[in-house]
Amino acid sequence: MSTSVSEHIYELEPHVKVARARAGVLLFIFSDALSVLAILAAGGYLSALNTEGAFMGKGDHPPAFLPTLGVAILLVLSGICYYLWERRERQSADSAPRVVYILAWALMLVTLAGQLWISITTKFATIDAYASVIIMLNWYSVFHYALAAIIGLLLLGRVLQGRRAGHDYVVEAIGYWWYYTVIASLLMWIFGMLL
Amino acid sequence: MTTQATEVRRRTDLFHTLCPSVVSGIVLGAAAAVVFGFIAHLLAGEDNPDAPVAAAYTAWVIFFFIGIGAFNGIFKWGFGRREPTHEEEMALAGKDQGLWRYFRFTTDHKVVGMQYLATVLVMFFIGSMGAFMIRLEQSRPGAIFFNPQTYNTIVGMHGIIMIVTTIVMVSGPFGNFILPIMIGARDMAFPRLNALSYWLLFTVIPMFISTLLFAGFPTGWTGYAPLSVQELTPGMDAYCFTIIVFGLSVTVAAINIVTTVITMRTKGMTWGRLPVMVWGVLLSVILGLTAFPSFIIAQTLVLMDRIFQTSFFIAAYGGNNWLYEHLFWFMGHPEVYVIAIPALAVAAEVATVFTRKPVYGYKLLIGGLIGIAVLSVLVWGHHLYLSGSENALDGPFMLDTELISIPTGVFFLALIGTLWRGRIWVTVPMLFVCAVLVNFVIGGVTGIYLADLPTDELLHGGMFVTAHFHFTLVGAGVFAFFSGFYYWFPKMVGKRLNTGLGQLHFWLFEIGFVGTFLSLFYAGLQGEPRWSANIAPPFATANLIASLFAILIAASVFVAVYNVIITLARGEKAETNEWGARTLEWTIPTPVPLENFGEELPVVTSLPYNYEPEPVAAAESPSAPASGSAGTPLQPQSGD
Amino acid sequence: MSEPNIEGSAGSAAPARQEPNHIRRAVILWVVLSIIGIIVVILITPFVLPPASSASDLSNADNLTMVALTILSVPVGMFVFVFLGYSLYAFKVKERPTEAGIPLQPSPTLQISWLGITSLLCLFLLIWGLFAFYQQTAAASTNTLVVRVTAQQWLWTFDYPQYGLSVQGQEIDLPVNRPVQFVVTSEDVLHGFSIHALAVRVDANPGEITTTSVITPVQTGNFTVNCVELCGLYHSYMWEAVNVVSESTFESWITSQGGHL
Repeated sequence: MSTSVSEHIYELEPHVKVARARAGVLLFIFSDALSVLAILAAGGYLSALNTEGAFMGKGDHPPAFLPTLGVAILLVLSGICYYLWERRERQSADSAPRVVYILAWALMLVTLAGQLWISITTKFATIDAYASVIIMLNWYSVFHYALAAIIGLLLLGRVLQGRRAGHDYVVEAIGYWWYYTVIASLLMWIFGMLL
Repeated sequence: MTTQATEVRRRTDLFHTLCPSVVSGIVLGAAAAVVFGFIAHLLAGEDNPDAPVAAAYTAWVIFFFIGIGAFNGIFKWGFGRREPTHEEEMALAGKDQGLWRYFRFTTDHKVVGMQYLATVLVMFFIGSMGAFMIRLEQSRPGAIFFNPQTYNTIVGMHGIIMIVTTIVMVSGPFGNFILPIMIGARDMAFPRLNALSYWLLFTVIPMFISTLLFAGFPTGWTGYAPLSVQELTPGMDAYCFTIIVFGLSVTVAAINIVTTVITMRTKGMTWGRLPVMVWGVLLSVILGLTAFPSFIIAQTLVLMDRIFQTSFFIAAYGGNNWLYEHLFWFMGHPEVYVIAIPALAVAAEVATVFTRKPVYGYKLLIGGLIGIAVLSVLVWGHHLYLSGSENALDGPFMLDTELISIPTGVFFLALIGTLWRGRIWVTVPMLFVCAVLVNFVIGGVTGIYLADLPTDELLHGGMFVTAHFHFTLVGAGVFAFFSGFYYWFPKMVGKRLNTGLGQLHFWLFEIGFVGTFLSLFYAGLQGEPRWSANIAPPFATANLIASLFAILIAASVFVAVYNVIITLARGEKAETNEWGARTLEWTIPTPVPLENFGEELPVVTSLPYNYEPEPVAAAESPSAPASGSAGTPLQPQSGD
Repeated sequence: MSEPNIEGSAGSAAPARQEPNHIRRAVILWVVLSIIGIIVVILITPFVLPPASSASDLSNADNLTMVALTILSVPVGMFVFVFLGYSLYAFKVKERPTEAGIPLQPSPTLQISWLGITSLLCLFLLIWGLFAFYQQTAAASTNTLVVRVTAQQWLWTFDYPQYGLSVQGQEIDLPVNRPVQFVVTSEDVLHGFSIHALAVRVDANPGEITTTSVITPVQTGNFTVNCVELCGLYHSYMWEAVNVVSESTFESWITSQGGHL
């Protein structure tokens, strides 16, 4: 409820907008990273405890290597595309070719599809603790790719409409999330292989 | 009273009022819950009762937010044709919407703060009813009023409702309403996320209470596996979802508060001039950000075991309950400091106002709070001394835990020093601060018994533990909340709470509280275990005395409720600077204008604790905005 | 016109002409009340710690620590109560203050002293605690009675492997003056095995085995084993009587239950 007679439009200063975008996404990354660490720690701990010798059964193995490698490659390519697009875009807004961004996003979609397929088709005879950890790693990656795809879709909307000027910090912030998704998912993949 | 602008406004029709609002959110969310629950039931079959419940809860949350219009902004951001106009932003902040803005996805931090305050008070009320039921049952041996299943559920619900409420009780209402004003900002860094954090909390409440429809849950507030994984009733799923969604709410709020304090402090508000209260809330949410992911993952793993038959916690298949305990307590210990740190900071903040002098050792106090926050992440093992897990680490954990007593001692030094040689004005907020000191020293000292291995051996899992954490979380935490409540109420609501009733509330609460929990300390020393639906005869007297004292606490709750109601109905208007305090929120009018400050944001030159000399009557006029009167820490606007 | 920021330890700013030395008064009050408090603690200890709690060597040791902690906490608590109470008595104003309080700040000396003293206190507690803890991890002697405890919802099973005996859901006997160690596990969920009077407490985990310290009951009597970790519906009904009896009574109990000597 305003008591002032005339209304002013109070704009945040540009450096504050940049700072807040950075702080927001980095804090979000911090929180998500801790959750990934929690899962990795859970897997490592259960493996070390090997309760009743039942952590891993005879038929247990990680998901087939080649499909997961394929997904990892697509993921990294998506990150590289985003990076190339972002670098050009931050030099001057709306200058980078849209197709590079669209490619980055499309690659993320294919990564998501691939990971979904892997997660659905990885089956275990009994779902012991080892299988549980693999299942969790698989589906958490699905979750991360889906989140990146949704965020990317929103950015795609803006990119297609050319509404980019003055919003460099958005590209930068989403970039951080994008690269984090790549790194965290690679980490989960490697951990699953080594478990 | 809504501002009646001179031009004629088109009356919005009922549909546009109700949609989007909490009404459309609830309707859509509930409908989706039923639909998706049914679909999941068809897909999962008869022998998986958890899948439909889980699907229903997930749908409830997502569709509630669609219904309340939370996604509208995101959608427009991506696919809209233009940026929102200033009018649209102001409308989203609740401009000219009267009281109904409290029932919508409103971004104004003051609205969010009031929403949190109302919700916190309601949850405290419900949680206390649970407590009184517990005390009623425990007043005599045997299961008299409740069967064990109901009793265990009541104990668990009391625990979770109170934990959730105490986590948000300071950061929610005051961290949202007061904090941005205190640092000289017009709003939070992410206003939409602010509304999101509140409404996430709101969606948790029906989810949690629905556990009663599914025969409750047997684990108490800690939700230990594998008991939580046993296929008893789907009521346990309510618990898991409550934690996950609440964890998201806390994470979102934490990101918002931390970013706000880092990036949006006004000119001159350096880290060394930040009011103690801001430090307290900041440290608390950083701690929460660090602790909650582990908790969310723990509950996700429990849900996976329940719904998808994984084996994280089933020993026969390589799972282990120690995993749950570590994940839980890695969160569980910092979490009590998430509760305590802002409460202690509020107590310090209020103390300076009613002693008319600066915080005694500001840097030392802030260092102490930081020390508590950092150490608290490293001590979770003291909950696991007797679990059998990692016994070799018992000694190091004991070292860490006892170390926390050092920064905690600094807090006492700061507060005692603030009181010493002050001009102590014993108002209702000040009464609560005094009780914080008394209760917290008892609570803190009894913590040493639990931190020490040889004595923990006698006391773990007994009522001594219960009495200890009630003395700290309630005796220090909730009492500090009430000190902040009575202190900031005149600014937030604009009315003056009745002093006599406030004093009555205080004395009934403190006497009842100390009586109840000292009796429970005694029962714990006699060996009474926790979670006793059935009190054994040796403990009967102590429990009866505790229950009798609890009647005083119950009376105090009703006194407080009555006070709030009559004040809202016909309370006296409060002054702009009701208490003569120096922080920024007391320099602006009541009710606080939509964008807090006038044209110029204040410029700060010192800590807000300088009480010499007293301000002149100019501070009481509502039309004196950010121009500094003598003695306030603001730079004079027009030649002083 | 009050003094500007005084750098001085609490209250030792030059007292006004007629002002009493508040610090001195408060400290004297603190010392006197602490001494009285410590005496009270020592006197009421037998009434608060139940007589049965000195039933084993470990519970005696632990009780000593309890008393020591309580004695230490008296001056700590009194510090807060006395200084708070004295402040409210001496510095209270009747209505809204018109002057500021004296803006005291702690001198570096005070800060360091405070941190030093609290650290020493903390160190003392730590050393005491660690010492008491490591003292009790005595090795089992050849004479040690081993009792295997299996927890389940909602009763206890006790095995005496040295006697080939297993009893379930009923009271058990233990011989006095003989070391005993409990080896604990669970069939289903987490339980907490506890005989409070003997200072025996350890969790019962499914799939894991945990052991208590070796303790020696030193007095005969009737005690209880309780479950101290919420384990579901009948958690608070999950108790059994434990009788500490003479060696001969114990042996006849063994044979009466079907075990061999």
